[in-house]
Amino acid sequence: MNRRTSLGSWLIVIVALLYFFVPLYAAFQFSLQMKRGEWSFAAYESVFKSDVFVNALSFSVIASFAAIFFGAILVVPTAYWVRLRLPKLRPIVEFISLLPLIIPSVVLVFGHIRMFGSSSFLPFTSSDWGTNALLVIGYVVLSLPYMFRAVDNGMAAIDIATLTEAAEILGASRFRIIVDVIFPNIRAAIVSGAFLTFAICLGDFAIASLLNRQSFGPYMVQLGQDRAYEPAALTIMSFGLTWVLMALIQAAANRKPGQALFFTFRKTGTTP
Amino acid sequence: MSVLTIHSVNKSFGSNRVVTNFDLSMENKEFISLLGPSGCGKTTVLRMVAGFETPSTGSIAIDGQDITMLRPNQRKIGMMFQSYALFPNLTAAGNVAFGLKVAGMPREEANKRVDEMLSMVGLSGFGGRYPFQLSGGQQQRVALARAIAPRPKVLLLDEPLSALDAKIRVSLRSEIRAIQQELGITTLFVTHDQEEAMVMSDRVVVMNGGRADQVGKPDDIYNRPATRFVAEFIGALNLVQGRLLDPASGEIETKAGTVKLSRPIKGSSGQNVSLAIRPEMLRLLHAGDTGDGVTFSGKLIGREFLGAIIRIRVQIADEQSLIIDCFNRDSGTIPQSGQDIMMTVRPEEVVLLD
Repeated sequence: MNRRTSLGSWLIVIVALLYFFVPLYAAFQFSLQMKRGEWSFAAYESVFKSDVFVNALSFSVIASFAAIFFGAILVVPTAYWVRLRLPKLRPIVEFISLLPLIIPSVVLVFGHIRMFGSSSFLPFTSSDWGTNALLVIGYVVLSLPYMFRAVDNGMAAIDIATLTEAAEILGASRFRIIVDVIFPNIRAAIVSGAFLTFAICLGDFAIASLLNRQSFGPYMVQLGQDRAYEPAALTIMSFGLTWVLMALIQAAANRKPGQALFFTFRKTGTTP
Repeated sequence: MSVLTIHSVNKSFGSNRVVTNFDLSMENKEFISLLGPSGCGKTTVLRMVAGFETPSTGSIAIDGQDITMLRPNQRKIGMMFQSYALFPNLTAAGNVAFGLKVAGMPREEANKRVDEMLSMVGLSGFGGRYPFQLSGGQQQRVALARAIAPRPKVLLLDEPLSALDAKIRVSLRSEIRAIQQELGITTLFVTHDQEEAMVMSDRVVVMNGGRADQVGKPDDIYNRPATRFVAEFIGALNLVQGRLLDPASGEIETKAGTVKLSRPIKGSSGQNVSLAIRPEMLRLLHAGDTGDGVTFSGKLIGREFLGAIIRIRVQIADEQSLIIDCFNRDSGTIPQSGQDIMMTVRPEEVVLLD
């Protein structure tokens, strides 16, 4: 590479970085200016002190964990079975998994409300518990494109057909194969799917607000209407959270077997 | 009583028939190879024994019990795969313990068995390593330990050596054979490598187009091939076309002269036959030598140095040449290219094929 093109590439990178970081820095600086005449983390403090924030965030975190759990239970066996036994169904399943990207979540939640409203045969929305369940179901659908793709790619990376046969000939049942062989070997894929699901659930506004749930998305919007400095602080914090999640996805994807992601429950074997 | 019995098994995928009327009976502790080119149905037979495919018709029994419809996990069979198929999330010890854990063996006993198996395959001390930390040969050893750990009634080997490099392939094949003999496991081995099949097996099944062309001891298969396919598939071979003149005395007319086999031959005079002669059975004939009964003469047209062996090509008629294998130590006696040459073979070494 000669000097001129190298300079050109650097220029492009610098412009891109400025484009991205200048507004971010502006938001950050603004979030520090809550107290007149000095820079402080008062806006952040105010956010953390609010009960509503803590409640909304914890509600969203629990809802997204539930969505991750049920999403994985739905997607892993489906992807496994399609790959192993029903490869002809693959295009259809892939199409269905992509639908949530095409259908706006507002349409989705309206469909849910019409289908499972208080006057329907399955009145989910007539109880608090049912509405929460409907929210989680909505999140599972919303995260389907990411979860399915992550898991399916994970399965493509290992030879699931031969691993299944190897486990089967050793006496393992189907259930045991999925739990002991397939799940652990696509754990990294599930984890990256899970982080994407988490990010989506945390950022969701449409479903939560139309189901009247006090979750993080509606809280952010409400705060944006009522306050000046706190929304900027929240924005910075959500960026930070997203970056942490991205880093975790990377760590999960590059993790080798036997290497702990955070910490390990495994008893270490003897190494020669 | 035979341990594994495959009885009149047929298998079709749609309209494509891949295995036809396959019969095989394996004695206890026997090592049998299914040998054939790719697409001959050998892997399908193995997969039917494992339970991954169901025969279209026919039955498979282990120890007299019909297992044709049993699921693979109920068959008590061990298997090695070409791609090793170790569980990447488990250590070598974890892989070997998998079948024991599934069978519900107490932990202490299982650990003991795992150590025993790993040391048997020469990997004591490697139990804590993950598959990605092991070489191909080591991974396949772990796969062997895993397959034999639950003490299966039958061991199936699906081209387990094909993915390894030549040197490891040779050492591992003798190790597999030694362990098989030590434990006395009835073993069915699939390979397309004739040398592996010959070296390792008690008996070899040569398969062609979904059928078993010949079942026999390695030397029978090599020395007395039953069909033209077996003769051509195994080892190098000279084929000389001819016409039967006299079935009683075994007189055959070829383009390179008349050959007398001095034995009665089934068939009628005028019938076309092929003489099959192994290159190492032919011997160069020097001046004053009387020959062994059947002689050919021709012109030396080619010479290949194969190390221990020198392979020469002799034209004995138009469009008919023979290859002859001579030991390297006799290289001094081999004539130069273009020279006339005589060679001889004993009549009983000449196999007649239709």
